Amino acid sequence: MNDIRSRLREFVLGELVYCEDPHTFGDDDDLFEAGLDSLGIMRLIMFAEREFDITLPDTEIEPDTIRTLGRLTRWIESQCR
Amino acid sequence: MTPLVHLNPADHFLLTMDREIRKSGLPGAWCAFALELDGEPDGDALQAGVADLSRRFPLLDSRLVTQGRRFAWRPGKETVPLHRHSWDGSVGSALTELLNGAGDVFSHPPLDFHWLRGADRNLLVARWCHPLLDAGGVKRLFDCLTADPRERDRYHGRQASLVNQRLAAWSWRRRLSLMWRGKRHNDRIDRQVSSQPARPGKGARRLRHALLRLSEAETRRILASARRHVGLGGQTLYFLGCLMRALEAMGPAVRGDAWCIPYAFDLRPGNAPTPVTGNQVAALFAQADHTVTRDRDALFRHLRTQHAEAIRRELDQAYLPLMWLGQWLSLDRYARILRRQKSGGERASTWFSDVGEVRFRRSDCCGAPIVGVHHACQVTAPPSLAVLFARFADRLQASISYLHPDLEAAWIDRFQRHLRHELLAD
Repeated sequence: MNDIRSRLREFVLGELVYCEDPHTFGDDDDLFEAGLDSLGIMRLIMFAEREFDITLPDTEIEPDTIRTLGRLTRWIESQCR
Repeated sequence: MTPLVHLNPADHFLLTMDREIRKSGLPGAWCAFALELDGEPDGDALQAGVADLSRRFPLLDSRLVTQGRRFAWRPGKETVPLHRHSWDGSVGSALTELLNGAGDVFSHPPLDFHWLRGADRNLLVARWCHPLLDAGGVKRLFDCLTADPRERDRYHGRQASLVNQRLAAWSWRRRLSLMWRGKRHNDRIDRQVSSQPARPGKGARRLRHALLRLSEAETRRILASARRHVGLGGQTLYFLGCLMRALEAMGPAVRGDAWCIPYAFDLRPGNAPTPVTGNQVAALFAQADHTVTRDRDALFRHLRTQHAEAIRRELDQAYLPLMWLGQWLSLDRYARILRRQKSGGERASTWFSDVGEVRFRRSDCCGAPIVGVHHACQVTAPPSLAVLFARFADRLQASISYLHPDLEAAWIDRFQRHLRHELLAD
């Protein structure tokens, strides 16, 4: 779980959204407010599929599933089981 | 003497386009990003803000120079010009007048501001030549200009090119591997000849502008439809697909096998305040043949699969090493590689950009509420057409820049109707 969270966090805060001090970006902070956009979501999905060797069902890619790092981590973790 | 700042590979790519646009008899790769203001801004605050921008970003007042085979900016010490005009025409005619009246980037400032004062509306236009900035950078300039002076420091940080940073982080082996993938992507694209919406018209070319703006309710409907067809991550693909279908409904003027449209990726993380200057983009082509384009569901499935495959194979980054290589070629040779298919035709069927949601940190510019945004750009002939999507204040808009007489106003009217129909279709 921690590994998934840290790898997602590194990718999201390094490539997709901006936070002046990434250490202060919480697991419950809104990724859309932080600048996650349409093509960014697709890059995120592709990253997760490649990194964790999973296939993410399109039907579950909802704003609520990926709105925060915490929710995203829980969703990816559930797909890894 | 002030040190020169070399163009990054993405800047050089756009300088090549500047040369190509000038070959079409137009002034070069000039673009406009305008704020529509409800009322008159404080002129002293505006002038002071522009002067502050010039101090913070010396590159804004630079001149393009050559150094051997390379191109560079020589930063100046002047304030970026702010011109004042009285105005009683339309936004479209104001933008095209400014873009058609621009000069050669080697002898003119690559950025200037124009404050157009109308009876009830004002327009603040940033006119820039594309190698200096991209639309994302100009949005940040406006954010900096409209910010409280104490907040402006956040835009003044690192301006290093993200393109160069990414290239520097890759080993030579990785660069070559990506370059090879990018070349194969182009080869695959070139198996199908690109259709064109226009043929060269008779007479001198002039840029014209049209705007398709949807209501808030229509925009909500379009975003819901986009999500249904291409998923949460596919809004840009939805706009691309609707554009292809609108072109298909118009019928190609030059019939090939497929529509082929370049689209760009901003390398800045979303909301990052820097870098402001330079072009921070990678590019890729979306392509769909006419049979697929005529089947709406099949088209969106195809575009989504194509894009997902492109990301999986890192093709979204593969053009960076290609652009790096291109900067060592002559502008003419590089342009041929960029534009021409093996068949000899133009690769891009139209220019496209999805600027995304435009949100400023402040809702006013020097005291005048910002009530609209407008984009326009010069484009090569062919394809003589550029469509730039953006959302502002919960309303989607498509800014259409086109070259007359290659395309006529009546054609654009019908094209807008088809595009609107496609965007709103279930």
